[in-house]
Amino acid sequence: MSVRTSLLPAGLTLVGSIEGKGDLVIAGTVEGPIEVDGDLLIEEGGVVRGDVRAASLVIKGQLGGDASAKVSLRVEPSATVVGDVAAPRVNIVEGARVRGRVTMTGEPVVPPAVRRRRRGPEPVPATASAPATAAPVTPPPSVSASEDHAPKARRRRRRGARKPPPPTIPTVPRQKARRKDRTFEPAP
Amino acid sequence: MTGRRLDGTIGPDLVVHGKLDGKSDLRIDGIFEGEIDVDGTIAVGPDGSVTAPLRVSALEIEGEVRGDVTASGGVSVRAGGRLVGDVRARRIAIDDGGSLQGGIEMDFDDGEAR
Repeated sequence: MSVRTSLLPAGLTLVGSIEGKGDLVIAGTVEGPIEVDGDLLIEEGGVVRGDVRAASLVIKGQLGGDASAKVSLRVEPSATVVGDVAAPRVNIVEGARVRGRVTMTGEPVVPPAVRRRRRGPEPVPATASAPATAAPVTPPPSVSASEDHAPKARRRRRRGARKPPPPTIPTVPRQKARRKDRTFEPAP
Repeated sequence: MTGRRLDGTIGPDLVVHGKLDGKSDLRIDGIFEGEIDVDGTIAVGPDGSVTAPLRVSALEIEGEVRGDVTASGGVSVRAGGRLVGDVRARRIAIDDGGSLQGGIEMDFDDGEAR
């Protein structure tokens, strides 16, 4: 633990606010807002009822309030979060209980590079990036699915565009069909 | 009590407002304003500043404390420490270089002193 790291120990309850510089670990209970320019860790057993802001945020305990991180936000399996979470990168590990809106602010720097690398060999890893984005497993796959379909559609169009010249032959059956229609129409 | 490991720390650049209570030791190197009611030892570091009435087990002051202090154990004002307020405690120590502005009340049998 560095000198700049502060700790509100288990057993202590603060009804009020904490703000300032450095890293902060909450193992006790805080009822009120917290804002630090360093890393904030809500330890397992730690409870915060209030909005929290930090450069990076790791939640292992309980948070009732909105969480905002400048860099990254991670919700561990032991965590319970009731409130909106916002950060450029949001990790929610399986097992965590979260109720609130997840906002990934700004354009993430790392994820696109990972996608490009992984797109080459297989489109599957696109779903692998899902846990990095957030707990909602359903949205990311749908995105990857649409990405998969898009190139196929292009290929079909291209193939179709190349084939048109020969279709002069298929026009013959079309004419036959028309003739059949014409012959059937006047008959009744 | 020096050298004893304190569980909690409020860092030098941290500002805490509000009411603090519970059971644990805490070292304050930052700024605290509000109220402290803790079953444990509170240590105020050289750069620490506390403006609050305190009810604690023990208090060790190297920085600045403004407020009345009630301690079930000892209160010590170390060199460089400054306490402004009334103190009620079982034991009180003011080292050389430490300052106290306020009254002192210690629980003892004053039969012989009278």
